[in-house]
Amino acid sequence: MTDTEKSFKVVLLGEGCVGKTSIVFRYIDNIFNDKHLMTQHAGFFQKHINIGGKRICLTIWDTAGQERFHALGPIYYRGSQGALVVYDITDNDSFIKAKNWIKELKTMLGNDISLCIIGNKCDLEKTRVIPLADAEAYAKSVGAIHYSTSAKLNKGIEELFLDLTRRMILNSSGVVIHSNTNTTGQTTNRSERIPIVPDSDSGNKQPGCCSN
Amino acid sequence: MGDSKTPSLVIGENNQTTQPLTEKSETNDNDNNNNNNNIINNNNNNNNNNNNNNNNDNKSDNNNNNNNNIINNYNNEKDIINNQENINIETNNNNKPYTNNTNNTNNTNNTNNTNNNNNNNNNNNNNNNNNNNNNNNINNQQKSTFKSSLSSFLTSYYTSSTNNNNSDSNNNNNNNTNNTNNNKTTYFGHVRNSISYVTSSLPGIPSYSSLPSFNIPLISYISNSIPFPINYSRSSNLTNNNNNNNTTTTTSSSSSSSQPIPIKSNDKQQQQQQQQQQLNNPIAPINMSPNSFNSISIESNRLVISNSLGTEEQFQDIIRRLEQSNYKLHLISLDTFIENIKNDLTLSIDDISSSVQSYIATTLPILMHVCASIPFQTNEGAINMIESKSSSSSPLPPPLQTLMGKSINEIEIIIYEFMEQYIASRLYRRIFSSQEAIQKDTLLCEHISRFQHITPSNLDINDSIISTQFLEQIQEELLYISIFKSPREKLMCIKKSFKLLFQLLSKTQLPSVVGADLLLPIVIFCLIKSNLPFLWSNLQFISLFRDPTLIESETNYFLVTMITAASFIENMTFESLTDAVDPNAPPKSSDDNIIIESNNIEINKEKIEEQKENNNNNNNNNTLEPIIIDTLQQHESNKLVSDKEIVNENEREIKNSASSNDNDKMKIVTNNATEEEKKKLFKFYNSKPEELSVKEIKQLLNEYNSLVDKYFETK
Repeated sequence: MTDTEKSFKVVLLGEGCVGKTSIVFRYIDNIFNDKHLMTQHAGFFQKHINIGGKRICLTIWDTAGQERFHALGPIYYRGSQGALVVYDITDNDSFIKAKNWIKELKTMLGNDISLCIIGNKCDLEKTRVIPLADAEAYAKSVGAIHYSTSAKLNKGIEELFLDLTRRMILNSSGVVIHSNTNTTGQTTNRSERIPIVPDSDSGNKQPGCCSN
Repeated sequence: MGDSKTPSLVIGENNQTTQPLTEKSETNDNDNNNNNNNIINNNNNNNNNNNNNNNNDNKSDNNNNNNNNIINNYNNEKDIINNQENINIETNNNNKPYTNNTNNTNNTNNTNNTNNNNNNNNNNNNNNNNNNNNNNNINNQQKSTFKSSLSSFLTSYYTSSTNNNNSDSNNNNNNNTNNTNNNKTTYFGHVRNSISYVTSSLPGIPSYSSLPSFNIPLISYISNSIPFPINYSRSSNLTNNNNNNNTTTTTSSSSSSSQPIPIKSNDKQQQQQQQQQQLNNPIAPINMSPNSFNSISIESNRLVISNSLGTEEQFQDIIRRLEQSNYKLHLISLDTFIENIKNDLTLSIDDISSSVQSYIATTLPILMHVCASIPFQTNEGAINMIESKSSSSSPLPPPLQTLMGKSINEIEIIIYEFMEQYIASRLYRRIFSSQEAIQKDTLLCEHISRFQHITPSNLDINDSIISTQFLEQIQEELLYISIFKSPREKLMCIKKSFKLLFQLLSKTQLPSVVGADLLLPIVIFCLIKSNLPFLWSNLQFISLFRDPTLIESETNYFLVTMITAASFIENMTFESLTDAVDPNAPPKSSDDNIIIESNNIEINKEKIEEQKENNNNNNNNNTLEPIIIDTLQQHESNKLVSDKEIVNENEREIKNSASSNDNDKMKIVTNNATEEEKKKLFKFYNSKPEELSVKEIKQLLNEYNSLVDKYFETK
């Protein structure tokens, strides 16, 4: 990757069978049921887009939503700039699970992460269990944005990712300063590391001299 | 003809040299001119008598010395006068400063006596001189100096004439010896001139304070005229002096600027490295070649690196550059660093990783300078020191061909990759032989071995997806992780394993989309079935010794998936698996245990029941015996109390018994009797004879008779 291209890590969370992977497949390859292409990259997705003259590289990390793997989430979402929490509008338990993920992300990563709550399967409106107003109210209360999508009908997905990327860019405009300081921090870290070396080296080399 | 010419030349030279000197020198000229005329000399001597100051004498002596030195210079330049004359003159010159030194140091009679002796010798040598004044010391000194100079020329003249009379061979030998003496005398003359300079600069004598400035250029002028061998040594001395000046400036600059510590340590490292270089020169390349060959062979066999940053060709070029004589120090520093870590067994893996990272951070700019001629980006003091070293050693090295046309960041990545691979591959055994890692690996293997019987359904995977061939191929691919020794190669292996997994999944018919919901369980299942021997060590090695910023995003995802799978397996229990779909051996074994326990319980119950029955029987027997005894006692007591009543009652009972001969009635009675007995047992168990009534006694007698009848019937 070139220096001008910025990379954002987005983590995909939610209960199993709510359609997390279908949403990303629709966005990356505009595919819903092509099995051959789906298996080329399972779990990891990468897309290069251009917004406002800036070249952006989105890396989307899919996670396992089963309950037995809940404790392993931090390994995935550590160091990510965006999070997509997906629930099924026909399943109340998935919405409760999504709320738990939101709480965990807020406690672990603070406000630096851009949160999106996605109500998938909106093509099954007749069997909706969770009212849209309730979901939007909850999203507003936690500082996230709610989206209604349908991977099957390719509805609301493109807007979802564009908005998320813009929000991450805005955060990164603040983060750009951080990144600059980080780069300077890295240089200072290296300069700070330099005095540490001779102590350990001198300690190591004394036995070398003794051996010689 | 020749004889007349030589003294005239000598006299002319004297005149020429003495003209630019001061008035006193002019007076000396007058004396020299008047030497030929006795009358004029006497007049001059009278004038000198007026000036009786020792200082004047000393000054005149110094002037004479200078004159003589200048004469020597002109003689050398012209190369007209014979070497013999030069030798004589120089010997006299050598004598005179010595005498002057003695005069300066000691003004005793001994010195005067020595001077007188010299004068006497000169007088003996010089037959032509007729002036002999021994009365005045001052006059003697002055005359002695002038006469000695003239005598030197005359003696040289006579010696040359005598040499002409001798044979040619002797002359040649004398010339050779004279040449050697000439060289020696010139060398010693230089030394004594410097000595005279030192003595002249002594603070004890204030009269000489005005002269050092005058003497310094003469010394430099004299030193310039020294012959070739001394010039050669002189040039080296000059360079040493210049270096000394530079060192003083450098020390001042170094003291003024506070140098950072690692540069000093680098200096020490280089010194030690030089020592080790002398020792290890034949050994290092031998050690190098098999390692590099092994890495090349492994990588060529298994992996094809498409990434242009950090290819094997670039690494080979870097090693070749470091193996050159000018840059072997850096390679030796790497090897010594690695050996120190190997030898120090107290370090933990975390300490090793932190020290390796810090070492790479310090040496990275140096290698960038060596391999790609990139300037340093460090402190100013460090820059000055390094520039001085680089300038002293050699100009900037040309960049390597494989690194041409790349940006600084790309070169930094390549060199970082090289150092990481070089260090990690050589520390591999040190790291993997640690006891912590072995213990954790063994525990994990034992833990995984308990779950070898599981099926895909326990992880909610369809059986159709995974086959034995599927598992075998993935196991084969995963085992290569332990073969490679650098973290980068291990990551390439993990990536290749996942790509193979995706290919195999694409061949099978999948019911739904393949995402992390399906990927992670499959990875967990494959790791359980393969049961890698060093799973935990490999993941730790990669996470500690690989710079996370250099890991590709996709490969990082695969690594994280492996880490999550391993952590799940480490904390896995049977409860975390789904038992309802397909029961496995552990649930069956548990059910069998329960059944066995239930059987045991039943057996125990049966035993308990048997015991209860036995107890009941025993209780019945015990209860019957005391009743019989009681009845007998009561019977006896009743007889004693009332014999008549008993007899009457007996008669009645006999009648009753005779009347009741019917079998049916007997059966009923027996049944009733048994009932009555039971009732009576309940009533009369604890009763006493006094408490019984007559009616009760009758009942008891009836019962007794019935029992007796039964007894006899059985017999």
